Amino acid sequence: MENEKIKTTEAIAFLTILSVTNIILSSSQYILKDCNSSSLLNSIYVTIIAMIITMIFCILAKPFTQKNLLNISDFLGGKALKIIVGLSFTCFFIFRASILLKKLSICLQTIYYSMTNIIFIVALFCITTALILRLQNNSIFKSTLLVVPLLFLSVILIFAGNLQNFNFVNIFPIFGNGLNSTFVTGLNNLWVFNSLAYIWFIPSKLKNPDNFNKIAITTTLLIGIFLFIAIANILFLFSNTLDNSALFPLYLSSRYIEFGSFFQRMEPLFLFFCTLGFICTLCVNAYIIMDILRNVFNLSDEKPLMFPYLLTLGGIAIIIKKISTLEYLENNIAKISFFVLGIGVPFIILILANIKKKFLRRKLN
Amino acid sequence: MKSFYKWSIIIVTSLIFLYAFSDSYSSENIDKLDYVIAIGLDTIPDSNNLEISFEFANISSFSEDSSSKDSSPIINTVTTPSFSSAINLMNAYVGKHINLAHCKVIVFSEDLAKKGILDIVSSLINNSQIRPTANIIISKGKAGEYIKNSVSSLEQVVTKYYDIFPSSSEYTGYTSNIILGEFYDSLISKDVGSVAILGSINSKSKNNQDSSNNNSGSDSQDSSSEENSSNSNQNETNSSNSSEESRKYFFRKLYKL
Repeated sequence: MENEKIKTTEAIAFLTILSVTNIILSSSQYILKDCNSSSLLNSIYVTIIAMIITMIFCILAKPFTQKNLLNISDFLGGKALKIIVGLSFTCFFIFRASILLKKLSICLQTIYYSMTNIIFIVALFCITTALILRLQNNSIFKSTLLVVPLLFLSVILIFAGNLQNFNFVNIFPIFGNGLNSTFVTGLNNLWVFNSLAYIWFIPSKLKNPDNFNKIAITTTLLIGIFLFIAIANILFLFSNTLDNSALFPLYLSSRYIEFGSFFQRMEPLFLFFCTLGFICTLCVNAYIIMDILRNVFNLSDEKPLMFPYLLTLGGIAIIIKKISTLEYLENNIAKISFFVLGIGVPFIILILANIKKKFLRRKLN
Repeated sequence: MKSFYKWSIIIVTSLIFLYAFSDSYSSENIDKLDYVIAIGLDTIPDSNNLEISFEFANISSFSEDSSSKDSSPIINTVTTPSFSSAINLMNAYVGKHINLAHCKVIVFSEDLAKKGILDIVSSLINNSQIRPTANIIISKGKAGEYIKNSVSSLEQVVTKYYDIFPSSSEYTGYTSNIILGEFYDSLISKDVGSVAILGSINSKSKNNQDSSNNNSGSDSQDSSSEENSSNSNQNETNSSNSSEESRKYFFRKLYKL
């Protein structure tokens, strides 16, 4: 892979799409299940918390400009810590991507390909990703920059199109299942901002590393806005009737849209944009994982790594048979992994690295 | 040699995917599908079974060679314990795969509605083919009869008639555009009562059936076929004193469940 640098806007799109596809495919449904009518309030709350966490991380990362988490781990704990951190994040990213792949494949099979084995649908995504990864990295960055506004626009249009069907009373009771579920256990919903886990691997790739703070904060804000619109859309339309649905709620809400008698049945278009967005997510995920492995094992060329990556991704997606298993893995394992790896580990590493740096500076002085 | 292997892999992979997706493509081919435009659900006395009627779109009536006269609707009825088994049975009976993507009207008989329809509506809303914008109608008589006689003399194409009749709610107060999604939400909700459109069949008397503006054009057409002149139109109002032989035209805004 050639070492192209990512521009600021490309980096923002790069990181935003990882959370946006997560919101579309899964997390919005879980937020509604947990918080009920207070989902909107909870989405604002977690966005504020995520912004605060991002700002704290930006302050902690300030002494380490242009250094990614692996470099900082190497500085802190040597090669051993670097390998542990690298492999942990690789496993987490592959696991997360395979769950989303399985979800989208089930959705496509239910709606369009009922006679096709899911293995072929999963394989189709994997092969598409492989073909894109063989091209230059610019294709990933620029296509992501194109797809993210399309996804934003489609969700805004779904919101506007469903205005006549909205029941704004669904927002009451305002605290839903109680203050505890909204503000205390509702903090679990921070996992929506899973871009925070990926943010640590892009500083060395940026064209303008000084814009790292701007990229981090803008990404969090955009994800928060998208989450708000998506949750509002689902809450006002469905309220608490959407307990267990095989199809993701935004797709179901797009089935209501009718602009006159000409523009009806717009949901295939929305599904098309989601599929494009998901392919971009897989490519971004692959790019970051291959970069981590190249960094950890000092590889000269990481392109051959895409085959084991895609095989592992597809394999995990195929192994999960039941939807209940999928939901358990997503709602429990992936959530906990995000809090440990996405927030906990970088936080601890950055604090210890800052302390070590200050200590070394004092020693030198 | 390398390019030969590369092209071989590309061709073989393409053939595998073509084979894999061809089944789904051919099963969803329009020639192999029967489109349901209306569903009627009735209860059977002294039985837990349902009598479910499916009204199919008559594709031949849309062809260029078809005459200007409206073709009679194609309705098939099955008796099953549930909606899902009715779909299975109908798939076996008609020979083609039935598709519910164009179902615009779902009619429940009043007797069935009084028994409770939450489980049936749950099956309908969870069906990925049925659109949540389908209209819900409660019929005073049998739902199957309602569908059979639900025609408009002003609109020959039944599908178009089903599509536009709820739009009268935009300029009259006699009806409301109650859709499946909204109906299901209100059925589940503890704070909102559910309502549906009430419909009924009316038959013309010999001389003095002139109920509304909507039916004025149909009188001349149907006067010759008195026996078959049952005409249902839920937008008509209860007009005048009708004779004893005919049923009254009546329409209520909403049927409260």
